[in-house]
Amino acid sequence: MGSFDFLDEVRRMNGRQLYYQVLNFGMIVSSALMIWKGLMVVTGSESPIVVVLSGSMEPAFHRGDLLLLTNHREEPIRVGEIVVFKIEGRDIPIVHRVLKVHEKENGTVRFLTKGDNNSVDDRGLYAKGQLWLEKKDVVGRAKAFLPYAGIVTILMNDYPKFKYAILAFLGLFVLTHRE
Amino acid sequence: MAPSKDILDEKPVKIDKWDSGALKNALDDGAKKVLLDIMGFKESHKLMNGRLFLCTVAIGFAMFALLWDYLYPFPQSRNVLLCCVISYFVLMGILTFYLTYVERGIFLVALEQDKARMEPDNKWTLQSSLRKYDDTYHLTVSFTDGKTQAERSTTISRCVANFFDDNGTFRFDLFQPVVRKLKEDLSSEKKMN
Amino acid sequence: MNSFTSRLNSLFAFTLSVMAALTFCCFLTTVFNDHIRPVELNVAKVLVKNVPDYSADRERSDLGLITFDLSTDLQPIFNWNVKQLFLYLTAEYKTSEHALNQVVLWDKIVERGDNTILDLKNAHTKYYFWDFGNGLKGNSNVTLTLSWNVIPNAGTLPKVQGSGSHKIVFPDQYTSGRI
Repeated sequence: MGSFDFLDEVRRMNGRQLYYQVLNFGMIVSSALMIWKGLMVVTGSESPIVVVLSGSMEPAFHRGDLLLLTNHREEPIRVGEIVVFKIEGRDIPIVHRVLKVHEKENGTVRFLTKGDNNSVDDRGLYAKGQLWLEKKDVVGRAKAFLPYAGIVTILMNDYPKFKYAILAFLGLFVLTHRE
Repeated sequence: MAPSKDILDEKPVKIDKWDSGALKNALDDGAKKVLLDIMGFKESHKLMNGRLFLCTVAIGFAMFALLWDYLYPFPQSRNVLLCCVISYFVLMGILTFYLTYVERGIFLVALEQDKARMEPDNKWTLQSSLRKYDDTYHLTVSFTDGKTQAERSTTISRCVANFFDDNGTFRFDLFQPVVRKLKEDLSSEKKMN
Repeated sequence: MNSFTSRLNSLFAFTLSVMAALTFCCFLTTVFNDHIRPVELNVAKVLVKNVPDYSADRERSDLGLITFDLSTDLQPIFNWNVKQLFLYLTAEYKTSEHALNQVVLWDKIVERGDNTILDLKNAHTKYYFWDFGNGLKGNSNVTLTLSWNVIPNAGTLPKVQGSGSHKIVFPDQYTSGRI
């Protein structure tokens, strides 16, 4: 046996206890999932918490800082706001500040963004031929800020193996440890 | 019923003696073994089933939310998500309530069947607690008479060191008499009345 | 609590929760600050040209050319939960095409410890003042304001408009040629 001693506890369980063990693991995952979905409903944003992945907003935000977003329909977009937006053909959303806004009577709005740390506006980042962003491109507007809290995400992004190792370890720990 | 030989011959349970969770589990399992395997009572799974049901339904809500959000991306799925999230957290509340006020640390409900099957089953309940950073194990045995529904219980508190050796091997041979005595005390009380 | 790793784990978890609690308290102490400061704004030169906008759609658009004076002291805004201010000078106006236009003309990052007294005379704008169409010529209701986005060490990201504004009246004639 030796190194498999930790499995002894599992071996002593009956069917119901084993099932509960799996459920317990499922509930940890579900709780995280439901908190996330709940935040989505409350904030109106499909991604209510984002980690800053680039240095383009320095010195305000650094890589690994956490932003809380909201995206309520009725909330207007104004200059100076920090928006998170998606560009067609790019997977990763961008966090930048609104530089120009042109809003029509009926509420349709076109706006231009720029990163605080960049010397030019974002037209070069947008899709080919795209001059303005519209409301549909917005994932959320930054409402609160927490430094360093997303650093683990950065590590996981930079070293995918690290991510799988952590997930496997946590999964095994929860499944084999009887509460 | 005499303890059958193979029960005592099983591979001894060895645990990390500094892990209070593992200590409690080993003791609970031991007490369970006394009532079920040695005395031949039948386990009633009602309490555990209730907990499993609550958990399963809660996870069902979470999985449904995940699926629905995948099929109908976010702004569309908002109302369904809201329902699932509320149901999930209400269920978690019910589960907490269930664990604190219904299960209350009960880890075994065993039924003592009347040999002639004429009278309703007597109910034995085992309940235990072992606080973190505390070495005293509290075991409560409750007895409910099937006929009269009269309920009696006794509790013992023992230092866990009495039942484990230095290496963390569970000494079932030392623990078993304690549980038996508890049980017999309750049984004899029954006869006295 | 008998092994090195379990002690390390407890220590880490406890440190993390204490830090989270302290951060939250720090945020609570500053959450009700209004961050408003008086700002004096003035405009010296005001011209409008009609030239192709090569940064956008190459259509002939109105380009405002202004120089401005600005003076304010932002020292009182800084407290222990203010990391940086992002100042931006906004021109806000209405055209026949758009009910609301906001264009950032100038911005500046003031970090904690930087000079907080701003006194600009005859300053040039940092960004071009392009209108979306031809709505600047003869526009007599362009409001210039200075706002700032307060970046905390941790907490909300309030967007505050300084008290004080200046109204720009653009001339009825385009200026042609180089200036």
